Amino acid sequence: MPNTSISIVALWFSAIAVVNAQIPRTVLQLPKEVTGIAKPQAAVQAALPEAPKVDSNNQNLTVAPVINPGNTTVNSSGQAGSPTGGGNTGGQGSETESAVADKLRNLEFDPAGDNVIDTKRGAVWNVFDNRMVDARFERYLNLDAAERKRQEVYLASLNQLLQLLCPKNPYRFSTTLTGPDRDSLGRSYNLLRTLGDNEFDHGVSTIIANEVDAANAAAANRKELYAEAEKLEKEIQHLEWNLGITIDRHTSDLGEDRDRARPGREANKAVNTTSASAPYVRKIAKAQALQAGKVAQAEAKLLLAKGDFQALQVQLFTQRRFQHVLIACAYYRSVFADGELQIKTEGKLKEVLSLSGAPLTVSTLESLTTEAIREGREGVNSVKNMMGTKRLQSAEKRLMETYSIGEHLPEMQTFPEDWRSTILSFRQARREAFKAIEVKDYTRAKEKNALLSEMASDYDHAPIHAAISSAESGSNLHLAKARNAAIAGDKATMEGEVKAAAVLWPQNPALAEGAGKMMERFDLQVQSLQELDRLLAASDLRGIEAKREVFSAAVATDEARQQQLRAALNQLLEIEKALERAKELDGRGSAAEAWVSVEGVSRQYPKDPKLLAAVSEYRSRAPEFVKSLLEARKAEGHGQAVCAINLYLLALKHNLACEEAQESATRLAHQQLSLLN
Amino acid sequence: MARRRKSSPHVSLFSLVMVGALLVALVAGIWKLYNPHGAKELLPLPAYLEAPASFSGNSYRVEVVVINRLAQNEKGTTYTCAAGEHPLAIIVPQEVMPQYRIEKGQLLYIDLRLSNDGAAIATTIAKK
Repeated sequence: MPNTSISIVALWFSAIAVVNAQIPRTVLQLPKEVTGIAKPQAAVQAALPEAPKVDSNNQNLTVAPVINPGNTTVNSSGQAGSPTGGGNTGGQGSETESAVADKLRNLEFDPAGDNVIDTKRGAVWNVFDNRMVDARFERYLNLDAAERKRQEVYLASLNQLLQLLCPKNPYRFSTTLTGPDRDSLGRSYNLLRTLGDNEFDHGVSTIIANEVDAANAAAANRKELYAEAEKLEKEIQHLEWNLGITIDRHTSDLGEDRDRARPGREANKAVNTTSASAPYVRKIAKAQALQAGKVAQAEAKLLLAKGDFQALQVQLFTQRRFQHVLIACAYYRSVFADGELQIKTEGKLKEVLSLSGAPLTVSTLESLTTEAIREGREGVNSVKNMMGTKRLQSAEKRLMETYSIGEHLPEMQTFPEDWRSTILSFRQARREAFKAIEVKDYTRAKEKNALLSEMASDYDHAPIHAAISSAESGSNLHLAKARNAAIAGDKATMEGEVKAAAVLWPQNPALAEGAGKMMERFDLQVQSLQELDRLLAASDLRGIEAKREVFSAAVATDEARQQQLRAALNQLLEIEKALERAKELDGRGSAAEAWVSVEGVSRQYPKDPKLLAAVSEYRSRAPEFVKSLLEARKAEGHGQAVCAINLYLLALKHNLACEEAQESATRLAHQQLSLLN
Repeated sequence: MARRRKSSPHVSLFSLVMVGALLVALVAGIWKLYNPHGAKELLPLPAYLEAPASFSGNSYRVEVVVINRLAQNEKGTTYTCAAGEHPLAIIVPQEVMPQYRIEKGQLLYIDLRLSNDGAAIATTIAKK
């Protein structure tokens, strides 16, 4: 809008005019025409000893208005006439600097662990490992490409502005004390106002422009106040002249001849002189006081404007808007072209920003800024080199550090999008890997670890690999112990080892498979024991023998059942031996003996089918003998000794080797003989 | 050469009778000797062996072959004998024991007395 542009230009040129105007340095130096009157000053001092004393040739006021960043009230030494106009308009910049200084005062940095310690609250956090830093960094990595296009336009304009302000040495402070020429300043101011409307500027340029305007206004106001002070000086000089004339008149010899003879002539002279000069003295004092007040007010305004500007510079520096710092410093030099470049700050902020305790000046701030810019540029260059060699892990760290320093630098803002995506992917993969470790999903952790190794040539996969290996080994070891316990039948130990394996590696694939099998095994064991008990109850020795291995495993921890199993197997062995013996006897043609061999065992184990079959078979092959023997036993059982003896003898007839028949017959014969009378 | 006087056809009938009587006596003697108890029954072995007690109190005679000695004490000896196909346990009291030694394979004629429970107790023993 042309009217607005014209207004801005007009304002800017008027500001330039104010800046370039001759601001009297020796405001309070007395004009030469009154230097001969030394006494008026002495007279004023004698009459009014409390009047403010203003030095010449110096802008420092011994009345010493105290202007601190945190104290925007202009105080004199308590003298009358000391104006305090505008003392409370310190501006937000001063308050911000105070707040920043207050915060910094309580912080301590531990370089060993990159930790920042808040001594006031006792909080500790890692500079590079906390959510806020992470969030900002990831936001940077996820920046939209289209937004970056628009951002690059802004950065180009910013660079152009810096070129105008620092034409010979971009990114370095000006080569002249007063900064760029008037034309460059004008164009840069216009550009500054334009940049302030840019979405990426966030109004910072506008703030600087406003501060420049305020400073220029303060300078103009100061000029006006000094002009008024100059007027007052002329009036004072006039009054002093009149005072001098009056004093001379009353102390001259023209009037003394007439009063020479009068007594008290000298005393009357002094009184008359004082009376006549008193009005002039009062007026002079009043004028001087007013003049001092205006000078103080002028300096106060300027100091306030300076303070605001300095606070803005410091604030921009702490916000890491280094280009704006350089812009602000260039404008500072232009606006406050008085050679006074010291920045007043306090406490921790001063420590941080000062170099070895040296006073913080605009030049120092610019130096720090350019150093920070250099750090940022070198950081980005090193990151680019690392990205070229796939050293993603180092590149990520360096990029985060560089981002912490120079977030708003063009090099950071124009960092390639594909590299940002790569770093972001690397961070996400690493986060997932550690999360997988945390939840003990080692399969996923292994996958992510392999992916990270593939992505970054400088990635150390050993920690995660070691953690995975340790957990897997531990879990598998517990599973092996569980299997052994299952084999041994120790269910309690098995369950404990399975639980321990699950604690170490919950998603161990062998766990699901093995635990199920082990439980099946225990079910099988229970079933086996039940079956064994049933077979033992039924005296089914053949059935027990058929599952000998199963039962042996099942009774591994059951001593009683072990003995039962052992006994059953021994019985079967006895049966088999008897059958074998019988078979041999039968093979020698002695079916009767074979029958005897198996018949005796069958009476112990009447349920063995094989035994019964053998008994039946041999009986059929030696029927007379078997019949005789059985009947003999029966007769003997009935007490029929004579019958039994004869039947035993009959059995012996068929099988002479039958020991039972022989022994029984003999025994019964002896019984018969003993009964003989 | 001289001729012998012809004998008389009168061999003494008396002689013949005497010889005959001697023969008969001899036979009788022999019969008596070897069948002194010709009046006792033979032991019915199948029935006896089946139910010895049912024959208790009776006397019988058997003709046995000695198989072996089954038992012995001061009161007597029990022999296993074979009466035909049937083995038989015979108790020989000490007082009935003959002068000669009873050996395996000897053929003996034994008179038996069956005890209350049917045990065969020899009363006389004669060798064949």
